[in-house]
Amino acid sequence: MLYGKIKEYRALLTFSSWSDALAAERAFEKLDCPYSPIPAPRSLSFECNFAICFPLGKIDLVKSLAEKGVPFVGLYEATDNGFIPWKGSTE
Amino acid sequence: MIYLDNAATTWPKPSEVINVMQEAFISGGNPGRGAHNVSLQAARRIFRVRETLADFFGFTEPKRVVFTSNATQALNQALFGLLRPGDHVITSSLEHNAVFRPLWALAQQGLEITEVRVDPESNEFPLQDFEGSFKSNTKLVVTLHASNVTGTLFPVADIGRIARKNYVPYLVDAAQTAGVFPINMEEMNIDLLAFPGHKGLLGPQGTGGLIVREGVHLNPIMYGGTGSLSESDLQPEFFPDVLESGTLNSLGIAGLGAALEYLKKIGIEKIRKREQELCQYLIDGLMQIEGIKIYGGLDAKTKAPIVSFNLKDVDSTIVGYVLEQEAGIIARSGLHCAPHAHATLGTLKQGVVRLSPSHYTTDEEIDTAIKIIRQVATGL
Repeated sequence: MLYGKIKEYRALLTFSSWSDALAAERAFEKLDCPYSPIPAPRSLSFECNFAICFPLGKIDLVKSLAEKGVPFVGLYEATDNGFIPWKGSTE
Repeated sequence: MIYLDNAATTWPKPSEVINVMQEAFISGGNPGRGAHNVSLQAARRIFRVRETLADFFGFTEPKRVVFTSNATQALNQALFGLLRPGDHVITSSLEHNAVFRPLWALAQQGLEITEVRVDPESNEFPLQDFEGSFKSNTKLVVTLHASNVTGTLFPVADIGRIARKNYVPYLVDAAQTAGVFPINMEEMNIDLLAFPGHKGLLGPQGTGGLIVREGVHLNPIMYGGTGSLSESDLQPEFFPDVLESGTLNSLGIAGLGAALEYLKKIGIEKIRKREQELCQYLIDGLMQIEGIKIYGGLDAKTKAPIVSFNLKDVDSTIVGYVLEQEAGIIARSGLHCAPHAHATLGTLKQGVVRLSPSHYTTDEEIDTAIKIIRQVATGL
């Protein structure tokens, strides 16, 4: 079941730690990209319980995040049938 | 009260520190525990302080700023996290018990210690003795940045360069310098930096930290909940979680963040200049008193803002007591948790009276201190 802003944004990043997630927030702010922190779905995350959702149309920004040294563990597209790993997503 | 014990803990604190702590108290939240907004806001406050501290100490990775409850805990984490029986460590004769006691405990398990004698009365620092102390099993060099007894400054960039040349990490105890002297871990070849939040950084007690350069592996000395990898019995291996189990002192850290902003606004160069001016004024005044001995040199510009002295052979604790009783002067007297430093100075029996002004101290307060010390000396 989709919840919160993810219903609108449809892209989700998960992290191994709060610090990584908070660093990602900083990066989103610098990129002037809308985002929203949401609880990480249990089906995806067993590491940090805080995830960030953002507009699917901005998914290329993930590359920018990696370049900025902001690590994440998963990138997903949220569909009505569940979370699908984004093609070509990197660790 | 004339408060001249800022080397123990600074007082007063900037009003911003108190205000921000009050706001954090009202806001609540356990940082990193749960994904609700209250927890998130608390976590953001903590993360901002990590970023500020990393920037403050010339470090690029905020995640490797680990919060502790004081510098002692940071030093224990570094020493017990790194050293094993059979290892060798190089240190100095001026260290605080926050370093000596953990090293002594580790020595009971087989740690080998080389203690380089550093004489606060000498103008020459024995860098060559550090250089000549490395062995095949040397795993760490650990020194003060400045002595808490005499204010003697260590040439940490040079010691760090020697350590790096020998592929050995360097741990610096910045208890008396953080917030007063510029510290750039990269430029000064520092691999591990331990600092208190409540001294020169002007934050509240119960705060401090350890900054760990990438590539230095430390085993945790405490295990437990981190808000991450909750399903696992294993401690996370990533920073800061690996070394930060249990709820953080989020109120104190918020206060430390406000103190750092205050320091940035005022500028630590300005603060240091003021404190050294006050120390020089104090030294010059005290030197006019017959029977006084000042330790660690007479040039305040070469020291942390500490002036330690004795009157003739009088027990320093009596002098300290009389100063408070006569004029409300708050000084630290006796031994200063650094018995090897006192042994080096020859003051193990007498101790020393230590005066440590802050930038809040006034000229008039120093005048009063000099006047009362002169009266005490005359009455002996």
